[in-house]
Order: sequence, then structure tokens, then C-alpha cells
Amino acid sequence: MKAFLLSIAVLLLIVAGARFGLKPLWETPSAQAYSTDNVRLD
Amino acid sequence: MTSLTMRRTSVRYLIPVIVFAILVLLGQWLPLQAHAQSSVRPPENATTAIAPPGPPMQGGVQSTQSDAEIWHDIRLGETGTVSIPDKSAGQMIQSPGEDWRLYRNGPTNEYLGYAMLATIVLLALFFAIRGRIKVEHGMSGIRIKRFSTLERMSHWLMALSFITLGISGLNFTFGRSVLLPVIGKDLFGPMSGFLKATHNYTAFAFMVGLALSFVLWIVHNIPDRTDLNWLAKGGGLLSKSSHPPAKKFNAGQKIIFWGVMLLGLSLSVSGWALLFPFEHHLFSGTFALLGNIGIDVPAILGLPEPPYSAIQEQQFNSAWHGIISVVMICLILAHIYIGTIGMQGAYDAMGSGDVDLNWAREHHSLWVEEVMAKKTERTAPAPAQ
Repeated sequence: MKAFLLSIAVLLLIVAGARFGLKPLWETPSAQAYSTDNVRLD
Repeated sequence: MTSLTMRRTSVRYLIPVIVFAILVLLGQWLPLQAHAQSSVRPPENATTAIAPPGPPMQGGVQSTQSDAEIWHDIRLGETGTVSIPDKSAGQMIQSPGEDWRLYRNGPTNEYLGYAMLATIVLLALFFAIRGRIKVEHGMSGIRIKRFSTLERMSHWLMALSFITLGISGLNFTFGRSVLLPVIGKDLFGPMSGFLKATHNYTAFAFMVGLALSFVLWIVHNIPDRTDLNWLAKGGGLLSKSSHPPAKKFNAGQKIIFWGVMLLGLSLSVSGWALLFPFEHHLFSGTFALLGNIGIDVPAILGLPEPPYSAIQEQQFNSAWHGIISVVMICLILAHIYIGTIGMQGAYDAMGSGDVDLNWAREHHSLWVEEVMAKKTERTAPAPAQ
């Protein structure tokens, strides 16, 4: 039981770490995605 | 006199009517002229007048001409040039994408679904025929340590993450056809979004569990001669009094171990390429490597010849990831069966970590001898000097 609970804790830790570590990489903030900076309209 | 006066009066009223009628007719005619002159369509000679120097542009400057050849080329994946950084945007139609979509919505749903159902049916049949494999000599009540806390933690980390990945992954493939009609769009949409995010992040936990298990158990899973004997006797699964000798892991468990490691590695690599898209060209490289040793995979499978575009690589990754996942799910279903309802006393190995001595003697006799010998070594008094 101890090992099982420990595995849940480790799993959640890894998932949370990946979530916070990779979110900025995978998801572009709307302010940046919809920014019109450096947009050139000819 | 009266008649002349009346005629003059009639003409006086008739003239405005005639003028009004002429104006109405002019009004009907003039707008047509004005409309024709303000049309966006340029004069006939305008095209040649504004055409740039050099050969005529395909499709005409204003796309007023239908050019079957251009569209034929575009339909076949012709890539043009774009001024934005993403050069792949120059490809308007990626034809192999349609092949991938047809494959994914056709054979994938059918055969992979049948494979999982067949596995469940076979296990149910085996259970019906063989029943639960019991400890022949009964439980001894003496327990010996089989797996440490770290080993069990790695196993459960891998197991829990795999189950999470399996459920969320199956939703990608079968959710639309199986779940959506049952639970409706309002629930299916948010649920699928949540499962997608869960799948992406849980993947890392699976990779960690896989790596840990590999490091911890590789030593015990190297094939040896005892495995041949175990396999020749069917692992004792088919007859009640047959208990072929085995070390810590028998040949069946070694097959599970190597299956999980190789399939898990393949899932991790293809999954990584899906998580970080358009950065890896695994299939072009792998097919080229296999081509060097005479295995022409594209010709065998009827695939286009490499090198593949970044989007094609993603499509191959997606298909491969799905196939390998289902193969691994089938393997794990068998593993779960034998570790729970299929065999008495087997679950304790991963539950508490301790197993009954009689169970261990029947299924891992060589390992028990090894453990007992070590225990005797530790408890025996040191020889007199």
C-alpha cells in the first residue's frame, strides 16, 4: 500500500512539474498570439 | 369653339405625362449604363497592360482563368513559396493527409478494436477452461520478500500512468465513435480536452517509471537456459501439477518485461515526437536504415517513398503510436489477468511485496533456493579461525 501511494505521489509530482514546466512552451499566451507588434500591412 | 378649348386643355395635360414617361424610360436605361461602367471587371486589355514582365503568370493575373494543371499539382502536394517563417504553409493541400485520415477512421478503429476485444475474449476463455491457478500445496503461511518498496513504486508508477494514458489515448481513437453518441457533445468536448492534457503530461511519468523499472529489473530479465525449459513446458499454465523451475522472473515474465520495455520505448519516442511536433524525422531515418539492410518498408506497406515531409512524419508517428499502444494494451491485459484473478497469490508480490513460500517454490523455485542460500549464509556462524 505504501509503495502504491508513493507511486501516486510521484506521478502527481511529475505531472504537475511537466504541466508548469512545459505550459509556456506548448501554449502561447493570448497577448502574444494576438499581438499586432511587428505586423506589416502593405 | 368649346371643342377647340377642350382640345387645348387635353394637350396641356398630355405634355407633362409624355415628359414623365420619357424620364422614366431614361431612368431605366441610364442606370444600366452607369452600372456597366462602374463594374470591377477591367477592360479587356487591362490584363496585358498590368501584367508583369516575364512569362505569363499561372492562372492569369486576376485568376480569371481556370488552370487545371495548377490545381492538379496543388492537389498532389505541390509546395509554393510563402513570405512567412513557416515555409510548410506553402503547401495548400497535403494529399497523404487524406490517406492518413482514411486509415485512421477505417482500419484503425476496426482492427485495433477487434484486437483488444479478442484479447479479452481469449483471456475469458482461458479462465473458463483452466480456472484460477491455485497454489498446489496450499498456502504455507510463511512469507518471503519478493519486491522492495522502490521496485513496487516503479511498477505502480508505470502501471498507473499507463492506465491513465490508455484510457485517455483510447478516447482519441474511439471516443468519437463510441462515447460521443452516448454522452453527447456537451460532455464529450470538455472531457476530451481534459484527457488530452492529461495524456500529454502523464506521458512523462510513464517514461520515468519505464526507465526506473528497466534499471531495477534488467539484471533479472536476461534470457538464459532455464527459460527454454519453462517455455517448453508452457510455464506449467496448461497442467495443474507442472511447475517448471524459474529464477526471480520466469520466461513469461521476461517476455512481458522486454515487451513493455521495447513497446514502451517506442511509444515514448513516437509520443515525444508528437509532443514536440515537426522537430524529428524518425520514419525517414528508420526506413532508410532498414533499406540499407534490404528491408524496403515503404514498398512492403505500400507507402510513399522517403524522405517524408514534417507533416507526413507526424502522421506516421500518430499511426505508429496508436498501433503500438494497442499491442501493449493487449500485452498488459494478459499481465493484469495473470497477476490478479488468473493466479492465486500472485498479486501479493506487487501488493505487499511478500509472497507465500509455497507459491514461490511452485513458480520461482530457483529464486527461492537462491534467497534461502543467502539467508543461510547470513545466519550461519562464522567459521572458527
